[in-house]
Amino acid sequence: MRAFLVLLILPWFWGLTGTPARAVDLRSELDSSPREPRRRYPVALALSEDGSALWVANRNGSLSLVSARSREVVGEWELPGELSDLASLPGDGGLLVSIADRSELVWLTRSADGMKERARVTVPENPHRLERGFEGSHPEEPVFFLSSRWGRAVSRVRCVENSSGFSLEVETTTELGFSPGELLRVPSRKLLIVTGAFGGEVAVLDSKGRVQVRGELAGHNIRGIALSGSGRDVMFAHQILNPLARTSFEDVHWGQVLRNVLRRVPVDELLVAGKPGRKRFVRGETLPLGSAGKGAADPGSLVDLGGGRWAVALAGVGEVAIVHPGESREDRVSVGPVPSELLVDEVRGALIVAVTFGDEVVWVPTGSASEAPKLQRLARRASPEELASTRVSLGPLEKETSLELGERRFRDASLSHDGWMSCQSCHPEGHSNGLLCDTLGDDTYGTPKRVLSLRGVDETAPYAWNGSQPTLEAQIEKTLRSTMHADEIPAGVIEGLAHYLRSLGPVPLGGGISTDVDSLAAIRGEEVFSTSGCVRCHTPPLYTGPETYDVGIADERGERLFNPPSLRGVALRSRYLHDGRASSLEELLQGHHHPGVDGFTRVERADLAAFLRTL
Amino acid sequence: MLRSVHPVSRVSKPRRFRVCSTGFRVLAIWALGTPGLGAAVLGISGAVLVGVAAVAGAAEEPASRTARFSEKVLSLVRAVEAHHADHPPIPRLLGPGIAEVCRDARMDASPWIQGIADQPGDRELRSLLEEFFDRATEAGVLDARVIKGVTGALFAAVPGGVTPISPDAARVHESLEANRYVGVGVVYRMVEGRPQVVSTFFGGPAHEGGLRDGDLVYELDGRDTATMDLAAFTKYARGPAGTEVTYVVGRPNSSERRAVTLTRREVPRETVRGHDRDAEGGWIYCLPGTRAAHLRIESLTASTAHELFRAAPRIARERAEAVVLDLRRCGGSEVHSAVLVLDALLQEGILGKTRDGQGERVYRAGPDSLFFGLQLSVLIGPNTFGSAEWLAENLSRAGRAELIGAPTAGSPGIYTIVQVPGWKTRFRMAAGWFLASTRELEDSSAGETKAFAPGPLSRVQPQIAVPEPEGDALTRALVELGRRRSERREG
Repeated sequence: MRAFLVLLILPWFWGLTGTPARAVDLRSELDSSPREPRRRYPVALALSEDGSALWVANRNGSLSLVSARSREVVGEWELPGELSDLASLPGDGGLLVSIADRSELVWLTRSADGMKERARVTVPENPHRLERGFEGSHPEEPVFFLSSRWGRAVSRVRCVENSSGFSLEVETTTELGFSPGELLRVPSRKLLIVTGAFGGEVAVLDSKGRVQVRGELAGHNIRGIALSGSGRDVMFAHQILNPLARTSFEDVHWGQVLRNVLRRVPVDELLVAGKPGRKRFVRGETLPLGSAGKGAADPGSLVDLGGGRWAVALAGVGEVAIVHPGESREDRVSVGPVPSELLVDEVRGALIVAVTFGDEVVWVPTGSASEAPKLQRLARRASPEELASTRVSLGPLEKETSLELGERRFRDASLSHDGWMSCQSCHPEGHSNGLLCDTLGDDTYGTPKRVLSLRGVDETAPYAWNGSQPTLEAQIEKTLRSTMHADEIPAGVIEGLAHYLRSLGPVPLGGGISTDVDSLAAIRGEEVFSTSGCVRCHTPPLYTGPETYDVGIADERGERLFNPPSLRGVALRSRYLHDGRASSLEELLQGHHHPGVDGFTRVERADLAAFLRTL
Repeated sequence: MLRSVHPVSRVSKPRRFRVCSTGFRVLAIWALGTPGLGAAVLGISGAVLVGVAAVAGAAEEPASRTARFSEKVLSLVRAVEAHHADHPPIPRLLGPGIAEVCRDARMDASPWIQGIADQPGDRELRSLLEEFFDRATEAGVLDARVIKGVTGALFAAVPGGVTPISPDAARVHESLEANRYVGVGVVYRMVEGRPQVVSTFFGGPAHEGGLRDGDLVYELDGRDTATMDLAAFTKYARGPAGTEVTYVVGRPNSSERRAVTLTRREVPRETVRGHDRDAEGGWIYCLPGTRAAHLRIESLTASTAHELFRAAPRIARERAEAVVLDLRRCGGSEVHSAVLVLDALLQEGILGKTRDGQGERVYRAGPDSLFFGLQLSVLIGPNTFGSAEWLAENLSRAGRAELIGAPTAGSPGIYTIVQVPGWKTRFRMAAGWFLASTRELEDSSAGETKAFAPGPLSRVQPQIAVPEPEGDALTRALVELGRRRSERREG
């Protein structure tokens, strides 16, 4: 077993729970020295069953423990890797923690010796969200579902403890054909709802992890999903990019380009099967977030507060909104940069918010509608003492680097007019929502084009569909000014954003879907690719080039010259060509007049598709 | 573009000339008579008219009179060609004006008429116009008469017309289209020589500052308004955001006066209105005693779709079962806002079709729509025009709504404001047409668009004719609509 847990614990931690005062990790002695300055990036929260302890998963490789009573950090453990989520096992059975960059799931328990790793298992690439599953006939062995973004799969994992020890058993892995993001269990129906990480896909799985129904929300960036108190409706928090709107100042000002919404969908509606071969859009009532002058970019984690009120984290504007559907009213609380997870602290009638880029956890009193003025006072920071008591810093911060600034600003909607959108709104995690947007990137309106992935963008100059921007910095500035209509661009922001984008590697080789790929077919496909002229425009190793080419199709204004996007990670895109007219590699190679493909045989097309899936 | 040529001018200062009366009248009707921009334009557009009253004849750079003339006319011709879907050929654009000026100059027009007959290129046309200008002015025709004769005839030759407007007027127009007008939010009219407040924008500075409907304005920043017409008054009333303006107002037939100081700011106008307001100023949409939400669309601007999205949750909370979209005093000449509203109301398939200088364009709906599952009816009438007619026609074509009321205006023009090189004046130019829907258009929703050429939209006819659908008549029409639907379902 890899020994990696390092305990950095304050001496008074064990006083919290009454466990013995001495604790060691798997490898090292108790370290009671002051915590070093660092950036933690809290991304996930879990409360202990009695509500006294709050576990915080920090993306930069540590677990923090916060006393919910005293609102203090009482412990922190190093857990190498990029933590993405955590979940409590019932009955103080420990914690499950997903580690995105290692594609692992870890089971930790607390013991007299401190935190112990009990089991670890490899899961499909880039695990993102954990959700409690359904145990069936073995209630003593908790089951969890885990979504894996690049792996494009949901795994069903059972936590087994028996005489031979602890183990995590991946019982099933369901390949979805899209990158999954959020998960939600519907206990009354024993169902799991899975949403797309980038687009609007929705799938309903049964308790065994088998896909029952597929559908799609009219939108993208589904960052929040919650069950209503009645259990009859599912509320989604997501965005809608309108290809008919232009990124003119007026359309941005009136929130026409990018709408931020909550969408209420009856569970029964999610279970309606579509016609074979046709995409089915699930219907539901949308509740718009934000208004002119006050955008609500990047709605995410959400909870039902009862009485018809919902709380939703607005990651782009650093606020939590308490929404009153039907009253066209939102109360906003400023919490700090990129609130990414909400949790209800029922004991204290508060929301707990993980403020990822503030390295803080914030308690926000929810109260009733009559307490809205209190929320507004908090928003204005009129009561510093009250605020101080609700904000918990996870530790001393080190100075923000240019790279860190760039990542924070990538998610910062203050760079857009009135806070309607951030870079993240169209390029979730630097990837693409796969949708069309009518920007001036090609210097014209009326010609919406597919949003490009920014993964691996460091090496693929020039930029924009027409290849008009020679450097990443020039492209970023043009986007900030003509698409997002930034009121001002503070010094260092363009450089920081460029720094961050350059740090994003291409999507993982093979995208974790290599099990789909016939390796012999891929080898034959590479030969086809090399010998039939594909390499002239899509030149290895980047599978792109600096020139523009006439690909035989034109946009609405007749423009025919396009710079080829890199083919790296091409299998992980949802749409193809500048107007998204092809929805699969096979469709792209068959009927859309891409140069050269007309002469291919059916087998050659299949081989070529197999090869492209390996890039 | 203008050539940089040193002037050899016969006149000591730039000349101005009056817009041809047709163009002026068109704009006046557009700004005042039609309901498309709503009554709000009444006050705001005073300055529009001031701006329109004269077309700046001055070139931006010094140049010879002859060169200025040729460049200006040439750039106008090219602008019409670039923007208008069905622009006439050069002989029809320039021929009548050249002939008119030649009549005044007692010259033979045939050399120039012949010269433009073969669609000359820029160089040939420039040369021809220069020679024409020199000959006409040598024959004693004033510069201004030559310019007016040629451009006036050109404006009249363009189907739908061309109207010169001042840059200020263009800015006002654009701010209205964007629903980002800066002011205090008042609609005025003239009553017995004084501006009177017709209404105030809800939540605007005037509304919040206590100006009331019917107030007469006696002074504006210390100026007696008795000496002003509406155009002069609105010119003084306008100003940048953040500046203050003081009104002295009084009730009619009262000697009491009160001073109100207001700060100008961006004042969005509500283009989507409900039936009544609740205690907090929000809209109540459902008609009393019914589950029918009444949405009055005052105009189609950049904000209208946004306002519809904002209204929808409230309508759902009122448990509306039907939505009545009232377009009886609504219209516009701009495509984009209408497309966004139509997209908000239709789900998948074709929204509609237009034709302008860029060619024909088919708009397709996104996968989402408002008021799904609710019965939708649209009220239309003779003051429903332009983009609102197109909206009604396409909602009906898609089977989404039934039309109630009276035939619409039959005014399908798409207009755009164009900045023409060499001109300080802007031009509100007809660009094309909102097109009628056809059977072929419907069929094309299943796949690729078929080749077809529907003509400009004509008057849209209601399915249920009710001349004045108000009160009981509206209720009866809705009952009739429900009866028909019920019959269809049973059938």
